[in-house]
Amino acid sequence: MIKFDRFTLDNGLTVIVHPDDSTPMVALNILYKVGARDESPHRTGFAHLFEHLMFGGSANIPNFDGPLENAGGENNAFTNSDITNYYVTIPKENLETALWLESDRMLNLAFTPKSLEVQRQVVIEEFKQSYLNQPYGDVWLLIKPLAYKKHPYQWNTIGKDISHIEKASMEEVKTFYKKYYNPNNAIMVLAGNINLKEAQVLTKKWFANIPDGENIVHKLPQEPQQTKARRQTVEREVPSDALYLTFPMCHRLHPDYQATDLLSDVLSNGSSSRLNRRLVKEQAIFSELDAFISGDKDEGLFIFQGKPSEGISLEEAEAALWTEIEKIKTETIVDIELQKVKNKVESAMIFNEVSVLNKAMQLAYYEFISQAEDVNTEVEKYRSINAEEIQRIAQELFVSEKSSTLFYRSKNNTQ
Amino acid sequence: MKLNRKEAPQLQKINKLRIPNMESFSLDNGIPVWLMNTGSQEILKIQISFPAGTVFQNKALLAFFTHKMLFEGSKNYSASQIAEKLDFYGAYVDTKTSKDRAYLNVFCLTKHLDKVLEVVVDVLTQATFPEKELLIMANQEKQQHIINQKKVKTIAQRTFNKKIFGEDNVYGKLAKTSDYDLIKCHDLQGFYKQFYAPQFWSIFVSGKIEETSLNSLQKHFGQINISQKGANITNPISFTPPILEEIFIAQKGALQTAIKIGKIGLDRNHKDYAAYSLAQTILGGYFGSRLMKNIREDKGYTYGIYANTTHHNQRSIFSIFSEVSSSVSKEALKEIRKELKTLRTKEVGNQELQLVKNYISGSLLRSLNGPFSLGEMMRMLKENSLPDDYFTQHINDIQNTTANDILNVCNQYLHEEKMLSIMVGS
Repeated sequence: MIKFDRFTLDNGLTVIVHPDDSTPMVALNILYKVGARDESPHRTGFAHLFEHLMFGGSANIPNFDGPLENAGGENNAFTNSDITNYYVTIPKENLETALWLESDRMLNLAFTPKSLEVQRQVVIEEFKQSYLNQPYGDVWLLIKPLAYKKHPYQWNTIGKDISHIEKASMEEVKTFYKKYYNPNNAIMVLAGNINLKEAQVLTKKWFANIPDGENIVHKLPQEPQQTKARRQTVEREVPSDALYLTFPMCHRLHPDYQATDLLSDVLSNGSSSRLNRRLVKEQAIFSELDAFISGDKDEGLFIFQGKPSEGISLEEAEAALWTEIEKIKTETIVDIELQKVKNKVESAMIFNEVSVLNKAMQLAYYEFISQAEDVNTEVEKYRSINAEEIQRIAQELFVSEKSSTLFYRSKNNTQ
Repeated sequence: MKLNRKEAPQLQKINKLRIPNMESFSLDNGIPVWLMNTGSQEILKIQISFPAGTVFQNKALLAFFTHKMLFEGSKNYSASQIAEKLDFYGAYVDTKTSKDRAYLNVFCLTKHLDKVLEVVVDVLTQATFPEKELLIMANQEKQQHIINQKKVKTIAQRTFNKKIFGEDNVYGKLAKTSDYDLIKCHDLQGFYKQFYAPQFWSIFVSGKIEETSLNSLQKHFGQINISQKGANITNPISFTPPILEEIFIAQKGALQTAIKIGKIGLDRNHKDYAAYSLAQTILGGYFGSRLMKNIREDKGYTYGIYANTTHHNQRSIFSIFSEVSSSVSKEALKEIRKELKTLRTKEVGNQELQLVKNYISGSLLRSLNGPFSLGEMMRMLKENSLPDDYFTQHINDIQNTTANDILNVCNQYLHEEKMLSIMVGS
């Protein structure tokens, strides 16, 4: 149970406060409701590039990191398809420094040409390091456009293509900031060694006079129902083949979301899970195999990914995986198996609450998708799921016509 | 009152750490236990430490697979039964082997400790190392190994490791792909018998420890039959000084080049350790470091660059690592050397020094936050025979270090021309 209070400033900034005096630190998390899904198809990777620019100095403070480090703080940020999230942890004595810094970059950025040029280069290097210069690094660059044809989830957070980053202009950068980086488009969470009163005084002082911006309506192209199986095969310089199989699934707030998550747990969470026990351990068809959900806000993906063992072809591996999939569609899972995955979810949630930063991020995320209160009712939703629901979802989800299959072939194996 | 946004809020110095008391006692059979009772969630981490690192193996991968295979079957339970039981109680286990030791970490809800320990102790005392499971695991790990061998990062790290310790040195030796085919069950059984004998165990518990938790520890760990008294197992290594050469390994078509530069570093109890860790932090130990500012933030050559020290029992290693755009790898190397040289020829300014001191204090506070980090700290102190107030002392030493101390330390230990340099890329 995470106890918290919420208040909203006149400019629309939502502030959530969770006191926890077992720590000498405060975690400050600011979520901006903008992600890669909000990008234009011609300027993909923009939300993430922007995350880098947020460290390039603001209206009144030339450098973000220096003063924060000087105060004993540490920070980072991430961007995904739905959000851009910035976070700081700092000794409570120096919390105000973090608020001073964060409020100034919410107010306005410095927008120096040097910062844009350098961060453009840094992001290009990040693109190479994570996606191009790694074995299997480009997998997601292939899967997403295969699985999505209309919705912006078809591109990755890093972008479709390096050229989009190369061409980003200062004008575009400024427009993006003006549209999305406003108090009314943000959720701020303070968690840790702080009480509501202190939080109110400090946030009013630093954030109340930031003007609000336009109200954002996310009108995104909807993904049409998939009616034909999609397949793609690529060859790469990798040591072994890999298989990827995806199916469209419901959005984050759909009543089936938690049951779909549990379905992925039954299949693949922990070494006693079905896929691991049967296909990796007993039959040794795969050397590794996972099933997981993308967890996006809009309609997401249910993903299987695996590497066949030495001597097993992609075709054989795919057939074996489908046999397991058919089983879960036709046989109801037994009580103890269901209870096990529920216990695991519950335990994972409690472990997640160890760190105030995790708690701050969770509160912000739940507030973004619906309301922060839901963080405390989530476990109940998992508890109430029965085996029939999971089976129904498996039947609805795992239909050949709705599948996208990627064969990632090793060049060595094809010779 | 008009808000002055140009002026930073007043800062307070962070020099007090909140470290809860550590307790220790011996179980009925003499196994030592250390406790860090803290945290607000009803959860526990049980860490068991074994003298079973790679230094003790006489065959490649022995330490690694013995540890990884522990949960693949015991006298009473099959691999799937073990997994089933642990998963059912929402418990997690992870295994880690280093050059010196092996660790088993068990995470569970306090209320399930007794049930979880029943399985864990059964596995630890009666592991069977079944052949079929080993074959599967060895194949999987081999594939992973082959994938890693494709990464410029891995090649650079492996080459560095071999060169800094010497290829025939037990710290320097690394497994080859063919070694994965040679590992046999009876090898593991032998290693297990020798290095996992309960008289060598140490147990570190952190989290919310209840009276019942202590009873469970006593009931499961304390009743294990110990036939011999445990003496500490050690394996003193003799080192020959590394050859400080510059090595380039070509990887055709690599978009990025991995750079690893380093030398033998200082141990935590060295008299110059505070000045040394300040120097390292200034150079590449945080986001605002000189290397990060120069090579990433000014030139955009890389996504990241870091300097750090890896502490092994018998040797500490200083290194700088980055993956840089292949077209600028030579320039990047030059800039790294330039920063090292500046660090030993020009005194660090007061503002930068103060910032880094504050940063180190803050990050110590952060890393000693939460029950499991505190438990990890307790283990580190105990295993390295460092005093309980080591971190408080360290913060004081950091505060009292001068720019001149840092200059001296850099001249003595971090000379840019006395480093091993490895580059892998195109």
